Amino acid sequence: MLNVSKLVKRYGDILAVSDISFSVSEGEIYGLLGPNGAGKSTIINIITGLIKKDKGTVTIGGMDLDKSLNQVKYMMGIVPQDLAIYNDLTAYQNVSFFGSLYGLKGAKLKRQSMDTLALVGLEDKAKSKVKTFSGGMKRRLNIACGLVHRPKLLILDEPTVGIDPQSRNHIMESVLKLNKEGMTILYTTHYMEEAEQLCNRIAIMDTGQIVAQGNLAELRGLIEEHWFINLNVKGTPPLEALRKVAGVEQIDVSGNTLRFRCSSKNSQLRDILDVLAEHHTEILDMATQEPNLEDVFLTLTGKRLRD
Amino acid sequence: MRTLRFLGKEALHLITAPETILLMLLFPVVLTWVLGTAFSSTNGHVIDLPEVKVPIVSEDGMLSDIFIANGQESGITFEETEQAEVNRRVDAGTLKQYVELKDKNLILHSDDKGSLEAMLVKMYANAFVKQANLSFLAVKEGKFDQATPRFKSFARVEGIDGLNEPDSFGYYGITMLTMIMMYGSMQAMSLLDLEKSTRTALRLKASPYPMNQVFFVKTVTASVIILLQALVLILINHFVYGIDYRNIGMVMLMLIPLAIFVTSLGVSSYQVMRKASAASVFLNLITFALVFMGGGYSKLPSDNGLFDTLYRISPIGWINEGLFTYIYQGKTDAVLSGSLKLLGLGLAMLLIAYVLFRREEGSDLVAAN
Repeated sequence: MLNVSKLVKRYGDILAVSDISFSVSEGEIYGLLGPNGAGKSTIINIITGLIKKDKGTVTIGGMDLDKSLNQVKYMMGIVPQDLAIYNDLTAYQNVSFFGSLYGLKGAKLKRQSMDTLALVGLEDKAKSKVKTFSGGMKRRLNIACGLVHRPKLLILDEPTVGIDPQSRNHIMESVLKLNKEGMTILYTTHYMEEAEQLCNRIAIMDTGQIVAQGNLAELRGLIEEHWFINLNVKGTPPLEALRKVAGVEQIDVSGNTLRFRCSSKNSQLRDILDVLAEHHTEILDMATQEPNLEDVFLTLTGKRLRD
Repeated sequence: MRTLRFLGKEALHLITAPETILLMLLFPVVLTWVLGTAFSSTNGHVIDLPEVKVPIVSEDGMLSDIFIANGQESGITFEETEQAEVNRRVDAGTLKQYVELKDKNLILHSDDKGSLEAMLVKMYANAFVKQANLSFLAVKEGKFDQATPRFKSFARVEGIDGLNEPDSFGYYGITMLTMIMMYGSMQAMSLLDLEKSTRTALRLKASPYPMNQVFFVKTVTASVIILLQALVLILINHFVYGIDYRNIGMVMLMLIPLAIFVTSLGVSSYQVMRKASAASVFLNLITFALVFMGGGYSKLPSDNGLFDTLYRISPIGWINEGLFTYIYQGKTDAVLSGSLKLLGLGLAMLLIAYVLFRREEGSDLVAAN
């Protein structure tokens, strides 16, 4: 459905996108995961024709973006990161207007507008002015405006930023539902959980490059030589001593939970437990875990997804 | 169809804004009434004189009758009164002046010689005396034919060129109309800024709808809404204040170049300054200046070289002059000339705005678009 090959974009001295290549199959949810400034939005803007690329090719539905931009635009829908809706109009007026830009008219426009509002759970608010909406409702309307014309490829650029968990869940459910109906989705996020839950395949990005891509198992496999253990302790843990344990590469502290990244399993666990015992640190809970995308990102780049 | 829906959407933004109703309709309606009433005594060539009634103490006779009758024709009512009554009223302080006509002596008794009434009576009396003396002289010399009046009527007051001119309501009925249309430049600017402020420009650019059409739709919508507001204002002025616009349809046609000029001023200011706040300040200043120069707030003295020049170079002056001469004199020369100048300026600014718009919107677009 979407094929990006050797994409390059430079802003002055800054290389925003550096030789990016990936492809998205029809009916797939493909994630672009990376921190702010990784180049995700730049790629989206190039694909949607908003900015020019310096090098590379983009094809959508078999059509070259440079040669058939207008035809390609009919096939795409965009849900931008910032809310892009008219506050002084109603929800229905917003959706139907954007639908009309893609050639929808008459009864079909009306029907699809109402169906889309129902899809995002806003059918009861069709006649309400957007300025009366909560943040989550505005986000949902933002999505509705991007898919009213039923695009073949829907691009969502960080659609859940700054909203409550309930609205976020609703959005994620809507995305899965759309995908089940056959829509191809390109989803960018810096939330690991969203990428893990939604995406069939993920490209992990940092500083304009893709550092790894594949499905979740493939990405985890990239760091299979590492293992991760979570320890829930009481009191203040002896971090300095724990960091000196051979093979312990990284310790993340979150409240009373310590997450260890180690190079081999058995010897580190014994040594870690010994250090904790020496310092009279009580262990409340212990578990080993498969690496998550945060671990993959951290291992490959040395940085966190949300620094 | 897409363009029609776009036009409808743009119109909704303007019409549903409460400030549109307040600023564009109520404000000029109220201001027309305030200024029209306040300046009702200074505008136009007709001065509303007070009713002049003066008591006269006279001996009975033809001279007295002629004096009183001629006075009536020229707007002065001489009320025959007895001397005793006059004395009584003078003593009571209720009489400031009266005329005495006795023994061929005509005397104006007045406590307020500088008043308008006193001056009018004095002027009339002097003219009467001169006429009467000439008549007597003609009769004495037997030249009876020279004793009759030569003029058909008393002098009347007219404008210098003998044409119709507006009263104060008529004046402000036009100048407030063109002034409020000038403020429409900010509506035009706001329409262009809308997509930036709501961040919907991205959606528009990502859609297959051409960006040059976006510019076209916004400028057309702004012009149409400005004209609609003008029409509503004209109708209110006509039916509530009785202001005559000669032919409303023709006046609306004449306002089209002004609507285009105003729209292009708004969009070009925005495109040049790139910020709505800066453009807004500029438009407020330029509107005030052009309206003032065009005699929008009050009629500028025509015998002052500077003001006359300002009036002639102000686009508002062009359209105001054109409307005045059409409505009150039935001539279209001035409005045609003014319209051409407005159109020329408007189209030039529109072109600049369009080039800047395309340059900004297309700066990072794929060449195919």
